[in-house]
Amino acid sequence: MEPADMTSHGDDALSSRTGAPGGDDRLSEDRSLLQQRLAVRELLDTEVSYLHVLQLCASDIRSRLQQLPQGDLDVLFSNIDDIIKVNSRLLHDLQETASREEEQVQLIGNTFLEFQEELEQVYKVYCASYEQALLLVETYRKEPELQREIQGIIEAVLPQAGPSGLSFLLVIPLQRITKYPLLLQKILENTLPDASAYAVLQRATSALQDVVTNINEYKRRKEVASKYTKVEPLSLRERLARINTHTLSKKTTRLSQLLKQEAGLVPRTEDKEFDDLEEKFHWVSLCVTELKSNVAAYLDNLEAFLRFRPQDYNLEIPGGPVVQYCYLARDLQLQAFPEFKQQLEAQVWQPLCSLAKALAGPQNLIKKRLDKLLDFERVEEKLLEVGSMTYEEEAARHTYQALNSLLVAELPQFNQLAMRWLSQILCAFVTLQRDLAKQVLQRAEDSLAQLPHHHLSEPAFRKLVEDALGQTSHQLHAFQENFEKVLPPPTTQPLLPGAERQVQALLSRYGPGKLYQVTSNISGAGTLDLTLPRGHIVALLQNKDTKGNSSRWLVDTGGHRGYVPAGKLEVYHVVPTEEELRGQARPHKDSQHQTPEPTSAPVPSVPTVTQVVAVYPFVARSSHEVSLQAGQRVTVLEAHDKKGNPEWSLVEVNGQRGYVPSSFLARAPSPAPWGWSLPS
Amino acid sequence: MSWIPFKIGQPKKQIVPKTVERDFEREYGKLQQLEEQTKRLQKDMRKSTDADLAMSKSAVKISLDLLSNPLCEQDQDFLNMVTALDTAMKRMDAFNQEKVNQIQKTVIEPLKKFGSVFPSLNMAVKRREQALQDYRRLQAKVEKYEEKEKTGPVLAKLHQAREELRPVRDDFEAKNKQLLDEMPRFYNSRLDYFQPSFESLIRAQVRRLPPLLPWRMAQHCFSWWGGGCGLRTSPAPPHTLEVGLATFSHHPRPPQHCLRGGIQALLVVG
Repeated sequence: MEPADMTSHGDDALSSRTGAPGGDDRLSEDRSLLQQRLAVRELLDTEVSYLHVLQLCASDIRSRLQQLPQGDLDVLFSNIDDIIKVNSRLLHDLQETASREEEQVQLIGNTFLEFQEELEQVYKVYCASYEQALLLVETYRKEPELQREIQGIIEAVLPQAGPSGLSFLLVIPLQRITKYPLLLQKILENTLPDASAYAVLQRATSALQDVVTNINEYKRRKEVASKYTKVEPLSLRERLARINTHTLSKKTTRLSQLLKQEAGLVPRTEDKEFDDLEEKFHWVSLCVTELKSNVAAYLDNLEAFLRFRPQDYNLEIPGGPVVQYCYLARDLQLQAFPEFKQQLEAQVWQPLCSLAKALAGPQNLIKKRLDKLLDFERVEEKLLEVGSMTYEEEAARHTYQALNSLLVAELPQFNQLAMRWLSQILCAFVTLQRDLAKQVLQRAEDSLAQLPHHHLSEPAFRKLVEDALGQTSHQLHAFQENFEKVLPPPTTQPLLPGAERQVQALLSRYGPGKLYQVTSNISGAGTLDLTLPRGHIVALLQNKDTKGNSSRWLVDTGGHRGYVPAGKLEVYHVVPTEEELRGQARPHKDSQHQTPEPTSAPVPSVPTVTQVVAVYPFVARSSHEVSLQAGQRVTVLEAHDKKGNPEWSLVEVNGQRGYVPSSFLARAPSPAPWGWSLPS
Repeated sequence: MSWIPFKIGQPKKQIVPKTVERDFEREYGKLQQLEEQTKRLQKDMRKSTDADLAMSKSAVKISLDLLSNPLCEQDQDFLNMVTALDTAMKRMDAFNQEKVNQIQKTVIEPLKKFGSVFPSLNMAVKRREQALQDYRRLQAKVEKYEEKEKTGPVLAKLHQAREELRPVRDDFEAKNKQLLDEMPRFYNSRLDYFQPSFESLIRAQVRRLPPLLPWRMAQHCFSWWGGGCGLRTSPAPPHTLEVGLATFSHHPRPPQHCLRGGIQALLVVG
């Protein structure tokens, strides 16, 4: 460092001027002027050497400290490069003022006013990380080997650093920034109050004092912020482990303070400004979290939508709109929508997540502030009562104040930035939707151009589709009916000759109303149960068994008696024998009808207008009659003729109507196992 | 011959020619596949439209929740933006709803109707199968009697068996023919049936102004809210939609990372 040799010259020069008469005032004026010049000189010189040291640190020393990791170096030297930049310019401007001697002081003042903002910005960063740097230096000190090396490097470059080399160097910027107000103050003291420079200088001095204050405040805020913004997710056990008498007493004190407030015993500190800020922040975070969960739901739905691919199914239709649609859908699903989803995630979802994460810090600080507020209030109370406070209480007070001022300063900014960011996100959302809609529209229009009816207007097309669908619907219905009309198998089996005689025997013994035919094979299980093949004729003896079970009937087969399941029996209408048929070859409609005795009694209970099956063929001999085939289904229109004779029925078959002998018809038996359905 | 275990019910000669059986299998196979595909298509189509609706409903929820936030009362700009967004979402939802209705009417319903024919078809095929079994059984019975010594009672039984066989065989033949006729016709009918449905499916996606207009309006409100990074832009709202759009597109889309940087630089965020 160059010693202030110039001062001695100045002294000599000045002292030769003294001796003028009545120069007391003049003397003091001159002395002031001298002091002023000295102070200015000091300012400039120290600035030069300061900058020199900084540069040595930043370049020589830092580059030689290779054994330290880069991360450490960043913490140690922080933004020293920025400081060098700013101070270089400051020095340059200050040196320029030297050429304008009369106005130099004023110019100096102006220069500092210009640089005020920058100095604050750049030094506050450095100061804020200074504590951390000191911690690092401590750790190095504990390793003697490392310490020796570092010391060696520093001594080689800057021997005047002394034994506490690194910490000595690192504190220099801090010292400098706090020195500026003092230096300026010195110049101010020696400036005449009515000089034009005085006001400027005064402003500059207080400005730099503000800078120092602000830097301190910033430092405090940063400390408090980094302490309280992060809330570590603690397990219950960890939380319990953290409880000790100290924390317990803290919390109980706070709680009692809160209760006192609630009870009205103690006034609550109302801070409207803060409350408003907090409220707004609360709404902003509500907005963000709601939006985030809604967007998540939207993305889930989008994913679900993309899972379904109706265009993948193959109807074996070679061309036309179906194929067009498949192309369109595939296109949209493989390209347009996935792109949309991707963009949505990048431009909407990710930013929302980041914004939501950023909410955590302020939320924690607000919570902590409330806690500290309670502490603060209690301390204030104590102060009023007792008049003093402990060191801890003082610290609590400071913490609260730091938290409060930090929040009050930064929350408005946060709110504003968050709102702006939100609107950007929403804007992105809207834009993406619009782009997607445009894409879908365009592709669909392209497909549309190739459709057969693209020239039709929408209403005309709708009508067309309705008609087409109506028509094909009829066609489908026809198909359905056709499929249902597949005939049931012939059910009534013709009787074996031997069986006929058996039937006659049963008939004569029991009467016609008691005859039943087995509709499907019965295999008897119990000793009294019969095993009968399908088609066998039996006579009913009792329609329930000894236990009263009405689904088990007692029948006579002509040879044996036993039980059979009622569900497999069907009323048997005795069909006329061959002779009877011949006898009826020439039917007439009068009631004197030649029918054999046995068959006259049972009036075949052919239900009116129903489906029946013709059991035997019948050849129509007149125009009033209609022919039947065995097994043919006919519709009975009237179960008697015009004169009420039930032995003839009016039927419709194959579109023709006519009379047939009622006894030739059998009611359709119960459905075969696989059933058929009557056309609806 | 009595020691040869005689399987009742399996006729010795092939009663249905292989070609006929193959044809039947082929036609029925095609129809079975068509049934499967139409069933799945119907299900997927319905699920797809449901998902589409769910999407637009959740979009509406976004703007609804925003509207109910107290910030709207405080900040006029915010309110404008959110209202525009809400209008756009609601319009989109209405459009989607209509599109889905259209699809329901012209695609899903017809698909269902088409599918409802299949049960009848399957029943008919089963009945044919049953008839075939009966036919086989009786045929075997006839053959059994034919192989026995021609005694009186045997002849009578043979005659009886043949009598029984005849109607059953006729029945089977009838069913077989009917199905062989109808199945290809039904299969081919799908062409006429589905083309109009799918054509209207494509048309449902095409609507001109409504889907885009709400978005343009929303963007217009956005364009002068929340300007660039850190800079407060406050131009007067553009007079026309087009000018608004132009302003927006010329406005370099403000990079979000500026805002993000700004927020994360704050001490409160940590």
